[in-house]
Amino acid sequence: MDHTRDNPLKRFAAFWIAALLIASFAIACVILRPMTHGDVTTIYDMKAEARIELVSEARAAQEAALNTAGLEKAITEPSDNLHKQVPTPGSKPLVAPAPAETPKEDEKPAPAE
Amino acid sequence: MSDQQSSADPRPDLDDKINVADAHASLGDTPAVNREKRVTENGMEPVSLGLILLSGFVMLVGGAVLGKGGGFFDYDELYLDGMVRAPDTGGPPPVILPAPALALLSKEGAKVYSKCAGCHGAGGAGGSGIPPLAGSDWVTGPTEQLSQIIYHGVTGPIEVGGVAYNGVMPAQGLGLGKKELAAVMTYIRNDWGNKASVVSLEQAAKALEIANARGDGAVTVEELKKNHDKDLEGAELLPETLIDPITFEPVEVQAAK
Amino acid sequence: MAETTSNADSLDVDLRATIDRSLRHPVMFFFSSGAVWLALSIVLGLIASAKKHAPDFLSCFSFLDAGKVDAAHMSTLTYGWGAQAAFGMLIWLMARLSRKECTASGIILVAGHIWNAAVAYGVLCIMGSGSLGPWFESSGVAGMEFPGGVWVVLLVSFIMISIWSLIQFQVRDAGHVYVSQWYLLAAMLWLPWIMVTAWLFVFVFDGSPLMATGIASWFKGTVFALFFLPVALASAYYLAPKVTGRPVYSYNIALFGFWSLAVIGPWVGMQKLAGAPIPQFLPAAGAAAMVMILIPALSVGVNILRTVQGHGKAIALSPSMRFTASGIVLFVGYGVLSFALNNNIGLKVSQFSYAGYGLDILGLYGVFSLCAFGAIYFIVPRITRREWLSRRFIRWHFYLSLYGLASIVICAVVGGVFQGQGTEDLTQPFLTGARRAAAYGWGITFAWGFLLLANLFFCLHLLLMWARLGRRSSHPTLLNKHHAESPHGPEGEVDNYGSATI
Repeated sequence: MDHTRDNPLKRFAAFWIAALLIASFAIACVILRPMTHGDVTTIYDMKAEARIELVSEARAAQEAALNTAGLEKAITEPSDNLHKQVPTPGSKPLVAPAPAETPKEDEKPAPAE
Repeated sequence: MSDQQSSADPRPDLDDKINVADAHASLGDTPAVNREKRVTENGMEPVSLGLILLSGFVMLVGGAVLGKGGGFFDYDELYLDGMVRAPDTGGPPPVILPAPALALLSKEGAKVYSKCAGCHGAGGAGGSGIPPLAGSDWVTGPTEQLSQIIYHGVTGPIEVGGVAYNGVMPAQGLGLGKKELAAVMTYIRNDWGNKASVVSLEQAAKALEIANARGDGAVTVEELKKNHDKDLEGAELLPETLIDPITFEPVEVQAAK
Repeated sequence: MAETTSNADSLDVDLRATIDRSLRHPVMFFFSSGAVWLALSIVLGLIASAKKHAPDFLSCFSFLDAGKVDAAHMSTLTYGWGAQAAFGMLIWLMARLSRKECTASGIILVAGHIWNAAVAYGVLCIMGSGSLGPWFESSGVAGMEFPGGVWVVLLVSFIMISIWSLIQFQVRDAGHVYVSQWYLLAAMLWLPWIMVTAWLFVFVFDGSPLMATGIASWFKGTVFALFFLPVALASAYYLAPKVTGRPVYSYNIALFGFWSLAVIGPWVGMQKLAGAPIPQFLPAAGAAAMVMILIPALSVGVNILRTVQGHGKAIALSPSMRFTASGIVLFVGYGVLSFALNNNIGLKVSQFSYAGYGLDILGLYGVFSLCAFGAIYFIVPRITRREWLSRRFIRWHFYLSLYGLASIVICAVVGGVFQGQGTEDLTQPFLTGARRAAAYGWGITFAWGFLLLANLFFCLHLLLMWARLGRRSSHPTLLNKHHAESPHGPEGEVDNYGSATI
C-alpha cells in the first residue's frame, strides 16, 4: 500500500464517505419530518370531527330506519310472483297466440317454451 | 512522439523519405486521442460590468415575482377580476326565487321517474306486458287511485288504454316521501300529452297516510274501484301558483314595486 | 496565467487511451441504449402531441390514452434518454479530468442494465395502468409517474454508477480542479438529494397530498436544473477549450455562473402549481427562480462563447463543437424564455398552455440533448477507436434537430401565448383557448416528425459505431464541404493529421 494520494484505503474511505453523505440526506428528512408534522389541531381537523360525528349519527339513524324486512319482501315477493308466472315446459303459453291458418300437414306444431 | 509544430514541414516529400505506414503507426490505434489538445488553466478575465448589471436587473424582476408571493397564505391575492364570489358575512341565506308549481314539481318528478323508466319507458310508453302511462286514464284519473298504485303496486288483470294486462307491478312506496310522491305524480300526470291536475305536498301526505293505514300488499283493480276511486283531500294547487323551490309550499306573492 | 496549448506528449496519450479503454463498455452502453430510448420517446411525443389536437388519433389503443402517452413521453425522454446520456458523459468526463481509469466498469454496466430494466418497467406501468393488472399501476403523481418502488431502484443504480466517479475525484492528483469537475461533482450529489427527498415526502411520509404534488413538481423542475443542466455545462466547459485549444475565457465568470446556479436551481419547479391551495410563497419562489435562471445562463453563455470566439472554423468543422455551441446558445435562449414566461405576466399564459411545455422541451432537448450529442460525437471515436462514418448523417442530424426543435419551441410558445390569453378571458368559453392553439398543435406534431427523422440518423450512426463498423482512420470526420480535398493537404504531406487538427 503506497502512500501516494491514490491508494486502496483512500478509495475505500471515499466510497463510504460518499455513501454516508447520500444516506445523510435520507436521515435528515426522517429527522426533520416529525418536526414539521406537529400535534397542532387545525381548524380542518376540528371541523372534520364535527362532520364525522354528524355523518355517523345520520348513518345510524338511517340504518335503524331502514326497513330491511320490507325491502326483502319488496324484492323477493314480485320476483317470486314473476317466477311463478314462468311457463313450465309443456304448459300452455300465457297469452294465447293469434289463431294461425290451418297448419300444413308436414309442419310440426311450435313447441311450447 | 514528435511535437507536431516542428515536424509540420510545408515542403512536399519528393524523395519519399517518409514511410507512410511507419508514420501512421506512430499514432497507434488511438489517433483521436493523439490529436487532442490539453485543457489548460483558465483565463482570469473579471466578471464584466455588463454581466453584473444584467444580472442585477434579472434579480430585480425575480424579486418582484417573489414579492407577489409575499401574501404567504393570502387567498384574496390570487383572485381573478370578474369572478364574483359573495363573501360569507354570516347573514341570512340568499333568497331563491319561487317558480310556478307545475314546472318545479315536474322537474323534481322527472328525477324521481328515472327509476320507473326502467319498466315504463322514458316516454311513458310502457313495454311488453307493461302498460303505458301516456294517455292512460289511471294516470290522469283520481289521484288517490294513482297514489295507491304507485305506493303498493298492482296485481291481477288491469285494462289500460283498451289493452288487458295481467302482470305485477312492484311496490314503489319504500322510501317515497310526500315530496317525491307529489312530484312524480305531477310529472306523469302532466307529461307526454297527459293533462291533469297538480298534486300538492298536502295531498301526497294524505296519500301516504292512507297507504300506511291500508297495510302492505299490492292493490287490485277491484280494491281500487271500491275504496280509492276519488281524488285526494287537500287544497288544490294550481299549476301556475308560485311555490318555494325548497319546500314546495306556496309562497305569498309580494307586491311588485 | 494561460499557457500556450501544447499537443499531448506520449504519457498523456497513453493515460487517455487507458482511461478510454477502461470505460468503453459502460459508456457505449449508456449512449446506445439512450439513443434507442430517445427514438421511442420521440415517437411517444409525436403521439402525445397529436392527441392534443386530434383526440381520436389511435384512440382504439387504450394504452395510448392522452394522459398515459404524455407521461410516458416525458418519462422516457428524461429517464430513458436523458439520464443515460448524462451517465455516459459523467463517468467519462470525471475519469478523464481526474486522470484515473475506471476500475468498476463491470458494476457500472450492471447498474446501467438495472436502470434500463427499471425504466422499462416504469413505462410499462404508466402505459398499462388499469389494463395489465395490479403489478403495473402508475403512481399517478404528476412528475413522478413511475411506481414508488421503481424510484428506489433508480436511486440505488445511480449511486452504483456515480460513486466511482466521486472516488476518482477524491483520489485525483493534486492540482487544478477543472470547472467541469465542479459541475459534475455537484450533479452527482444533487441528484441523490432530490431523489431521496422527493421519494420520501411523496411516497413514504404521511402528509398532505397537496404538498406531495408540490414536491413532485419541484422534483421534475430540479431534475433538469440540478442534474441535466450541470452535466451539459460540464461537457461544454470541457469541449470548448479542448477542441479550440484555448483556455476558458474567465475563471471568475465560471465561478459566478456555478454558484448562481447552485443558489437559484434548488428553488425551481413549483411554479407549475401557481394558484394551487399550497402556501403561496412556494410557487412564487419557483417562478422567481425560473426568472433568475437567466443569470447562470448569461454567465455560462458569455464564458463559453467568448472561449470559442474567433474559432468559427472549429465550430463549423467539428461536429462536437457545433452541437455544443448550439446547445450553449440555446441555453441563453432558454434563460430568456424562462424569464419571459415565468414572471407575473408570463406565468398566466404559460402555466396551462403549450408555452410551458415548449420551455421544458427547449431545456431537455435544446440545451441538454444538443450538448449531449456534442459530447457523444467527441467521446465515441475515442472509446471505439474508430471515426464517424458519414458526414452527411451528422449534418442531417444537426440540421433536422435544430429545425425540429426551433419549430416545436416557436409553435409551442406562440400558440401557448394565444391559448393562455384565450383561457384567461373569463367572458369566453374555455374552448376558445384550445381552438386558438389547435393549428400550433399541428405544427408541433409535424416538428416531432422532424426530430424523429433526426434521431433515426443519429441512432443508426451510433449503432454502427457500437458495432465496431466505424472508419479506421487517423483523420477525424469533420463537417467540411470539400470532399475532393485530401486530408493530407494539397501537397500530400503524410506526417500531419489533416488540414484541421480537431
